[in-house]
Amino acid sequence: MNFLQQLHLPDEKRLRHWLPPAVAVIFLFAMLAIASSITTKTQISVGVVALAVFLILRQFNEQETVRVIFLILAAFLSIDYFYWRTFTTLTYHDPVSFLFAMLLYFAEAYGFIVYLLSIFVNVDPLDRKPLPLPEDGELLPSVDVLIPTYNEDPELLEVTLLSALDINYPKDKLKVYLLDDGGTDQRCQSEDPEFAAAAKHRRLELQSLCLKWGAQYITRAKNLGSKAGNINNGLHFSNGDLVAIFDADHAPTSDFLQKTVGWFRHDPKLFLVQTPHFFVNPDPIEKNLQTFSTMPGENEMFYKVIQRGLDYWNSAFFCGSAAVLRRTCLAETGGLAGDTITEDAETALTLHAKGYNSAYIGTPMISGLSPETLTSFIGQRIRWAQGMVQIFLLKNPLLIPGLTLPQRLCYFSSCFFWFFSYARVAFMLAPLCFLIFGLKIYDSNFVDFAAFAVPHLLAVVIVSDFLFGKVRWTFVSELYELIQSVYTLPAIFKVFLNPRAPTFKVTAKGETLGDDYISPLARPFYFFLIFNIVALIFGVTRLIVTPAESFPTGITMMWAGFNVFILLAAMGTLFERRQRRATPRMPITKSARVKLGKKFYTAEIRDLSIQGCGLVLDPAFESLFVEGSSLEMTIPDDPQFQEATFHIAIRNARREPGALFVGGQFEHASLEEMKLKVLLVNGNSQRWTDFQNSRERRIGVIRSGLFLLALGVRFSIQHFGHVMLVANSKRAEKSFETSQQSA
Amino acid sequence: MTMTPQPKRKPSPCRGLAIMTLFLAALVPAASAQQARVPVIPAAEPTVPMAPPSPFSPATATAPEPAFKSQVQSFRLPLRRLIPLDSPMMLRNASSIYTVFVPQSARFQAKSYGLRLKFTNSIALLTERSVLRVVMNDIIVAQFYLDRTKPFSDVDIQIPLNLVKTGFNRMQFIVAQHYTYKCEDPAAPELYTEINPDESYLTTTGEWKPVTERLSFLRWWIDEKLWIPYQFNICMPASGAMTDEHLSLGAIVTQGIALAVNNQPFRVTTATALRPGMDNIVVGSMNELAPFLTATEVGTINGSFLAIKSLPGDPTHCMIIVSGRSPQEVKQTALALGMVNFPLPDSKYAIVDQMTMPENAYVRNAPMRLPGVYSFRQLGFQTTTIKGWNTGTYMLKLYMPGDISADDKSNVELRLHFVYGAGFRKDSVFNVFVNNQFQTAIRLKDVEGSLHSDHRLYLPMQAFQPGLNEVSLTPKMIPLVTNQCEVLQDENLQFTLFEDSDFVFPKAMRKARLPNLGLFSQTAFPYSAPPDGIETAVFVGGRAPETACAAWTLMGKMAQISGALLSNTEISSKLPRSRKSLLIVGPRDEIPPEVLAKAPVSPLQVGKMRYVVSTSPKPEKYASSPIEEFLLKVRGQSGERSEPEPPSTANLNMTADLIDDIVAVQFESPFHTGYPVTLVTAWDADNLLAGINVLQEREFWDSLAGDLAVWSTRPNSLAVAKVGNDFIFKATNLVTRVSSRFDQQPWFFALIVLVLIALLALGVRAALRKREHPE
Repeated sequence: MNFLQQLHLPDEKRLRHWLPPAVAVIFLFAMLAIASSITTKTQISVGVVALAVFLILRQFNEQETVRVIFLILAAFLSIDYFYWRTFTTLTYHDPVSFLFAMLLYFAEAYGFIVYLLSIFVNVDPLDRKPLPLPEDGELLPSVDVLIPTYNEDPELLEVTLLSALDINYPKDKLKVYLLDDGGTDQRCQSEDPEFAAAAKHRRLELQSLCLKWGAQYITRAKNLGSKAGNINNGLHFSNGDLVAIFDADHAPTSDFLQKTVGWFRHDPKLFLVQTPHFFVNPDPIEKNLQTFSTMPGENEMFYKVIQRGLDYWNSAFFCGSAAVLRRTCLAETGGLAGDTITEDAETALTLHAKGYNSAYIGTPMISGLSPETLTSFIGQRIRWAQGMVQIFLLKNPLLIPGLTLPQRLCYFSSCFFWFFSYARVAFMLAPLCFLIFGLKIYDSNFVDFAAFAVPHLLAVVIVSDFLFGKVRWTFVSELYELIQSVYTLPAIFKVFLNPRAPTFKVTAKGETLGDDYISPLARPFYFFLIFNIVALIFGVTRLIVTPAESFPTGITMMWAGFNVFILLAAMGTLFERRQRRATPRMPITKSARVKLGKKFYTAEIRDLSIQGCGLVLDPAFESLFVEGSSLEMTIPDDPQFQEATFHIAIRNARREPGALFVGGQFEHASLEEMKLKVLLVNGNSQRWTDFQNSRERRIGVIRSGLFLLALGVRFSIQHFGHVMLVANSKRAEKSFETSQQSA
Repeated sequence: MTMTPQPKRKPSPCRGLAIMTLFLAALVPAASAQQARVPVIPAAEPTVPMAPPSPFSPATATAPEPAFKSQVQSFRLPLRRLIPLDSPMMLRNASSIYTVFVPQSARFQAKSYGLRLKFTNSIALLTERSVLRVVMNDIIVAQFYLDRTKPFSDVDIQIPLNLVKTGFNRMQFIVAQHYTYKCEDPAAPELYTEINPDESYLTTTGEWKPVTERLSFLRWWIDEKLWIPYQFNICMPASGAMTDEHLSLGAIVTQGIALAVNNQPFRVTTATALRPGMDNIVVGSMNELAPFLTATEVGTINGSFLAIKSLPGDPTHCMIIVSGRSPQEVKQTALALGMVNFPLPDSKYAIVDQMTMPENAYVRNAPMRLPGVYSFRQLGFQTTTIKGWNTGTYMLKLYMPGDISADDKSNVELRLHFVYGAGFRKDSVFNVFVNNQFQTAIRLKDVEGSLHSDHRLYLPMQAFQPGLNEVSLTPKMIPLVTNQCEVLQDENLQFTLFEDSDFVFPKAMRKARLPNLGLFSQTAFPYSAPPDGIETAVFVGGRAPETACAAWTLMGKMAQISGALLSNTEISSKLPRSRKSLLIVGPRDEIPPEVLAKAPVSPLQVGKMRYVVSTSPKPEKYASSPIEEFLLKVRGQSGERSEPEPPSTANLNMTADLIDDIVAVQFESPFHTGYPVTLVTAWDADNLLAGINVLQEREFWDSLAGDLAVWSTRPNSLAVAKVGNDFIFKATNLVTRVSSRFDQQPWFFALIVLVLIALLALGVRAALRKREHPE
């Protein structure tokens, strides 16, 4: 044993892991030590130069070195700000002011920590490519596909099952299991005869479905452990080397295993390959603001940037679906961990702590459904928030043994993020404290604020755009977080009171909405909006009455104005639009041939869903393609579908400039046609990638702000118009009833 | 009172020997003697008959004291002593008041009081309606017409004895001045009367009271209200060879006395025996003080011992015994005496059982801690209402740290809570001054009156100076109706400033640029930072008692400035080389050569000094903006000077040694970078002490500046100059020096930050690449 070994120094590999963050932290603290001894004037110079450099460097964000310079400079400015914020602006005036000052400070501290962690996590996102599989199928590991279900529609399940069965993989190495928790013995023997009958009916229906398509049906005696318990039961009855898990509404593409299994062969310590969740329908916020086809989806920030960043630090975690896991690793933890309601992340954390690796492939290879209503959406987010807070409390990544420092920071970042609800509510109410109640919650003068806070705030916005601008437009995060915060905050509080209390609740999918209506979740946001507008009015009064306080009043009014801006967009999202299709049609460009009667016509498929498609034809045939007619469609250019014929009933036809658009519904005549239809709709991952890419673009901070402002104004007007309409109609109904009674 | 300087003593080699002889003779009977002979220095000055020591207890008294005949004495106190230096006593407008506070010591029994008043009034005054009255403690003692035909007046006023009380007496000079019988402008410029503060003076005649032999009476006995400098002798029987321990004890006692007399001058001597005609503080261990004590008294000493009794043969002066069984106990007693504000027991003696010094030394003039929020209440301000027209100013005194920087661009925030009355004219204002310089104002524009609960103002940090700062807040309230010939209603002119108003101090730049004798005189910086003087060392050159007294006097003055006892200062006759700010006091021959070598000018031969030559001032910066500076740099010229250049000097070789002059020079320590040496020297110890005694006077002390001061005992003899190079206090480590540099060149700092971040980024990038990468 040499001298160095005797010192128990970390080996070179570990040193390499630790060195960058250690160097960064030491350096930043050294800079801070100097910064703490310089004056405001010097700080202004630093801020001005740094911002100028920011604006130049952001043009070169693809260059890795520039990216690192950019992020370290941003971190320096923010640490400098927070040092000043901590040691200069927290002043005691009176108990109430101090209380609210501290509440605001904690909210800022949250933002500061999350921001620094975000810089660390995303310093160098990994773009991992799939590894090719060997041509000899014998060398491939066997794979079990597990599809847990609880109460989903059998029609939806059938699509998922068929997609799973269509996966391109040696058939003798692939088994598909439907894990039904809706037809357990416990439910079938329920004391409620109606409930028991429904459960038995579901069991029989799904059993026949599996029998029809060649999948295995598995259920169990009791609904123990929710989704994790269901999957663990499935693991017990299956034996493949690898396990692919898909939610009931997550239909995989045919190349799913082709692009994921290769990494398991390459790295024997790999326990997980996670892929993105791709949704074919808009989430309620996208739907209500009508941004689905124009703006990047909400989850793209996570799946296109953050998971890649986590992957760089070997911290990409299991997201519950669209992932492949190694059975032997799962066996070490007794299956999926079940202490929390986010069993997926918890399992990944446990296996990372055991020294196993994870990987993330950024290609979307499943198509799923977002929750359709805000209520379902919030319910889903409450579960995630509660689950991650449970991990924070019960299995805190900073404390549990086995993780590397970067992994600890990454997991901590993932858990700690979910406290955003506290920060959002605090930021929403803070301007009121000063403008309405005159509480002194932030002690600063103009010069100091300009020197320390302004560079930090601008840096935060610029860095956010720099890191995520393509996939998350500026201020969109604020909107999403605000909508969730009011409801996740009490849920998190409950977790603190009893960390083991939360239970798994299945998110409703595939709902349709018949009419427009105001979401029942809207009430707190009315209060926020009213309070902030009142605060602005108070602010104007303050400006007139106490002009000497124009600086703090002006700044706080800008803050309240920003809140109003976000709240207007929130008003738009809270006006629920009707949803006609449970499975919306996704765009596609594919040439086809249609046969109407005995004649063939050239057409182009414009959109496609599991229920139907949209075709574009020559407008000259307008008189032929009428509602109610039937036609047959073939796709001669695609070898995969050369033999296939799809039967379609025309549901509508309309003239468009230079084209005839025909909307049709699939009417499959055979099992084979059904199977091919699923393959056509869900089989191609490139289609999902293309769709994502079509929305992915950076529009910049100002345009993004204007975009959101326009949406907010437009849809909040509609929101309040609808409120007045409903109120008027109720009033009219009431007066009609009164007149009837009096008559 | 006469401001006669101490008579100059010529060096007398025989005198020390005489003292020693007397001391040795007195040592013989020592502890066992009940009737000990007290060593006494023969009186060279007004002789006080000496008598055997009187015991503490009347029961043990064995020898009657001869009757002491108190002498009637007269003193004179110029009004200048009661007002700020260089400030006129001007009474303007139709009515005006000037107030001074006349001290009256509890030690002095006055038999008469008088005021000689010399003033000049305007020749435009209407004599019949213009009156000056003199008010003592709210009672009018004299009044005069201000005669336009006799503008120069010289009057003598007798002040009734019963109006003068022990303590500070309020004396007011109040004028009513008019120039017409008709309606007039009350603020007309011709309405003035000026009192000459240098030639107007108070006189008193009386005699000294006998000593009250109670320790509690010390608070009144060592008195700032004396009209002459308080004079005392530190009698240390064992200090024939002045050791460091003696130096330390003397320093503590002197500082305690200095603090007790507040900011007033004092005179200290030291000897191995008592000195007549002044209070004596006898310091030494139980055995050393045996000649001064009876056996009973010695037996009483079972710890740190503090006692008071009359000086033998002179009941008007006291003898304060500072003793103990061991040197530690003696030091503890000295510290107890130094705690002047601590009430001592109402007894003749006390044993100090235990004394714990606070962790943070008590500081009367404690500087603000920056950053921080201070309410006016904390600064001694109480909610006060000002009524009427031009009737008052709110004054707050702030002590700023000695190392705040003039380069600091930050602001002090003032959060005011005030209310003002209704019916103000719209040009009424609330002015804010810092150190008599106008800074900002609030317009009192609401005719209906208004309450401001958190009115924020910003004062530049640069307006504040190290040490004492005066912030004055003056409401200038003007009534709505001010037409001439109309009755002026001023009852509506009310302004209340509340004590919960705040000062919010920023995190100020802490960077003291030395040498700076002005900073030393204003704040005692850096010797009083921290206030207990633990980072200060004093070197006393030579063993002459006068040198020790000179060092103690200087330390006493420093204690007065900072308001704290330098209890942990290292004082030695060996040159301290520790990392501390060094004060060197000694005659010219005792100054270590290695210290002299670093001095910018030889203080031994001031005639050979360099004199500052007046030249065209060089600009501190050549560029007015960063862009211009950048362009200058591109052209290869420097846009900004990093350091102010030392003044241009000319060498003038005049061979003239120190004779009567005293020299103080401050420069960077030859032993430790970033620490100062302040060297005070003179031809000999007598000259040195006389010079430092003179230096205590306001005219000298307040005029110290630059890094070189030369003066003599003659009035107005002080000359100051700046001859050496600057350095930053404690700029010893790299971070401080770098930070200081950056502060001067913020754009350069910004560039350095960017470069360092780029380097770090390259390092991190390289490290990231080395990670095991799946790609």
